[in-house]
Amino acid sequence: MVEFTLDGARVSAPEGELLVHAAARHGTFIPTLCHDEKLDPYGGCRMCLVDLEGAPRPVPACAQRVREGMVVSTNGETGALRRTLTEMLLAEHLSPNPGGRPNELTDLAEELGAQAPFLLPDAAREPYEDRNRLMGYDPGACILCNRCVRYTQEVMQCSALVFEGRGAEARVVPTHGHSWLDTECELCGGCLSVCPTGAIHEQFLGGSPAGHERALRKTKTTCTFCGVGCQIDLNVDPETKRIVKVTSDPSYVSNEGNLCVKGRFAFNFVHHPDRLTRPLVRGDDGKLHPASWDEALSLAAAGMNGVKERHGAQSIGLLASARLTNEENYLLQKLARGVIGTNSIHSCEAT
Amino acid sequence: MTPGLDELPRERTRLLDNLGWVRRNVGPVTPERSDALADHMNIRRGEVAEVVSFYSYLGQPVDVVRVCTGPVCDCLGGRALLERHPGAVEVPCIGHCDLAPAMLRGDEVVPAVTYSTNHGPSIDLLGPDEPREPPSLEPDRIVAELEASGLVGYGGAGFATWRKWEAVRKAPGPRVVIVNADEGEPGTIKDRYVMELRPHLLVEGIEVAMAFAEAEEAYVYLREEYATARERLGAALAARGLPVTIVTGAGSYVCGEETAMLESMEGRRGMPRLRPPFPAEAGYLGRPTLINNVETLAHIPAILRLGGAACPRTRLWSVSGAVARPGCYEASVDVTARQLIDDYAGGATEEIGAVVPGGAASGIIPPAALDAPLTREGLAPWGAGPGSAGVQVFPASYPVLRLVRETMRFFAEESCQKCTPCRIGTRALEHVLHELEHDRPAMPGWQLEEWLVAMEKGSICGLGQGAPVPLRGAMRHWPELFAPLLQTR
Ligand SMILES: Cc1cc2nc3c(=O)[nH]c(=O)nc-3n(C[C@H](O)[C@H](O)[C@H](O)COP(=O)(O)O)c2cc1C
Ligand code: SF4
Ligand code: SF4
Ligand code: SF4
Ligand code: SF4
Ligand code: FES
Repeated sequence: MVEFTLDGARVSAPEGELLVHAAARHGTFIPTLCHDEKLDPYGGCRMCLVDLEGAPRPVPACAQRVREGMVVSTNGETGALRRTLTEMLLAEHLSPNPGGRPNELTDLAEELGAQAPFLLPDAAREPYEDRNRLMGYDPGACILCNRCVRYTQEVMQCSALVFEGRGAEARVVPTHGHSWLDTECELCGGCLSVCPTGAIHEQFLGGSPAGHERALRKTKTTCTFCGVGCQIDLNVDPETKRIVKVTSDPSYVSNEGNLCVKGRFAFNFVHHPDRLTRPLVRGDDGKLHPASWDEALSLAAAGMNGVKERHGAQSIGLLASARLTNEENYLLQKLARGVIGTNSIHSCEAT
Repeated sequence: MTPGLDELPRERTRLLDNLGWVRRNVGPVTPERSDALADHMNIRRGEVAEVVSFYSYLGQPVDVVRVCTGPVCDCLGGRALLERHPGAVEVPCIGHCDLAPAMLRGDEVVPAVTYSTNHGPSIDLLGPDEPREPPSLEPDRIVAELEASGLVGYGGAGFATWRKWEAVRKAPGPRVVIVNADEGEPGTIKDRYVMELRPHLLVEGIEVAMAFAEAEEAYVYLREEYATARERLGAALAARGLPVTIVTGAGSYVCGEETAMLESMEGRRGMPRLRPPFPAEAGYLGRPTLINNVETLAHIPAILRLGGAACPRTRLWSVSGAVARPGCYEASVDVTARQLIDDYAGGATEEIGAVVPGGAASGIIPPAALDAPLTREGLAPWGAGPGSAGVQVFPASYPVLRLVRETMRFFAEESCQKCTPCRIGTRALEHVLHELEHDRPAMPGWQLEEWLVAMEKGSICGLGQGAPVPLRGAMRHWPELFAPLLQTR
């Protein structure tokens, strides 16, 4: 632990902790835009600049690690600096709400009372449209904080997004400006999740009113698609009671807010009319009829026992779904080996 | 698909070299070629693509015609030259300001290179150039002589050389030496003169630096536009059999900033790093790295031979613009602009309107300052500094607002886009100046002041921090041009 001075108060923090986090724990909120705990310190947006005694100019709290005896001030001139930086970002922020996602820049602007004196004549970037149906990108909302690209390089390791060009022509775009579908992208939506402005957004939610995501009710649950067991938040529209999107929080232990394409985007089945909601048994008429679990399971058991009697236990093999958890897989192999008497069991995850 | 590509080295640090090779031997780096190289080097395609897009030249054919519209060339007809060459690309300062308006046809400089220079006591650009055994002194003595000589970095920042050298020695090896030969500062041609006329002298300086730092490897980061320098320096290095690699840039001013240069050399976009750590502690591949400008190193042999205190303090002044004999002259560090113009460069060709003393971010001084010594102290009262000693003389007929706007356009185009104040500030200032040229205030003066302060205090590197300097200089010396800003509140 080290001790340092934060706005006149003596505080302590583990050595090497980033100042922005240490300050937050002590109740001092320093705004950030380009910072993301999952990524290496970058220090690009400069929103988190604070005064550090002895430093020739303000330092970014998102990249500065705490040191014994350092003297930090967050409430001096850097407050004015923050408003100016916000004004600057607004001077090319043509599209504040592409898809109803929270926009940290407009939030900050409101809080600081910042307005752009003008829109830059070269604010408009090359338009971008993507033929995938999950993720959209609106260059007019992008503040070039580079979070998405760094996520693709440091976390997802897909590098399917690039920070392209220099000067006013610089932009963020899938590699070579191709569609996401023609890059290494797996549509995990991770880059989307770290975007602070909603420039990358759920394409299927385009046109949602600003702040739409905040109006949704989040229900925390476990993704049902595979044994990794990622923690997700189902975002439910309180009016229609339908799941609108899936998010995840960096604080969730098993997946730290990261998801794959299934967990993030494949939730439509929940409300699908074809979804099975109870057991069905095929009747003599050849059609499927609703049945109770007991009926259905007994029928399946009887069928399997019949096969075993006629052809022996080795004629039965079990293929476990990738969606099973460890515990369920354990039970399934007990069923195979102990009850049915076969070693032929496999999981489709292994292929 | 791309013949010869399989032979290329696969280390990430060779990416820029490899891209240059593809451009020279195969053709402009297209997305397909970029992907092929990425696959060969086992780097993800997106990471190569974003590097390619960072540089101005990788997508251009080698024989492309490039016309300079840097401030001096703009003033002396660069735009008309551009119009006469359909298909030519417009580029910022190409380091041949003494030939303005200058252009490049592939590697060939048009008009043909001539040298206008003089004898001097330290570098002596006209002196005989041949391989020489470098002076060999104990490290402590070297530091002491450097301190006694008062040598400061001539790359632009003016940092005391002995301090940097001492810091590097203190950090544990292995250490690396890098020569900054990117010379991108508009109006600056001196490093080219050194490399073309005294390449062996630079090699001597490099040898001293390598021995001092006990460095087993050294690099020269050389701007792409300097084909002749590449050839002559390469030959001089070979003559001494030194393990020095020339890394050729690909068209990016900010790569002259030392930490951007390190990123560029490591195969990433040339975006400056946060400091600390400084390169002397953790530079190239995390090793302690001694980075010096070409001219800085070229002064060191004389300093060590004559002794720091005895060696006359000179520097190379690039003089361009409205003078009779634009060129590069070795003169005392406290020379005045008037002396340079009259005693070295053959006098002004037109009534002088403004002088930029040392590169884009050094400031702008009015004719009244012509007798100020071009030192940090001498120029401070004029809101300027000596920078890289690229003295650009602008005639009264060239509007100051245009000069500042062109300079700001240069910064905006070269900004790496990492940090907000520079990324947006430079473009905003270009806009403000453009509006002023039409007597329109784009923003109130008090707010402009806040934006300038945000750039100065909030930018990561010298590009954004220094971009307001020329504007402030103009506001101070030609306040009438900025009157519209004061009328708004
Ligand atoms: C935007 C920018 C561009 C620069 N370009 C150059 C350059 O082209 N050549 C150079 O020697 N130094 C350049 N510098 C300065 C270098 O960062 C560094 O200070 C210098 O190479 C150190 O060498 P010195 O101490 O010998 O001057 C530049 C700095 C900035 C901020
Ligand atoms: S969606 Fe996932 S895989 Fe696709 S670019 Fe973004 S981070 Fe990479
Ligand atoms: S798309 Fe979003 S995360 Fe990516 S750079 Fe733009 S604003 Fe930042
Ligand atoms: S399917 Fe994807 S999101 Fe769901 S638990 Fe598995 S890895 Fe996580
Ligand atoms: S000041 Fe400009 S060039 Fe330097 S890091 Fe920031 S954006 Fe890049
Ligand atoms: S959050 Fe620190 S610089 Fe962006």
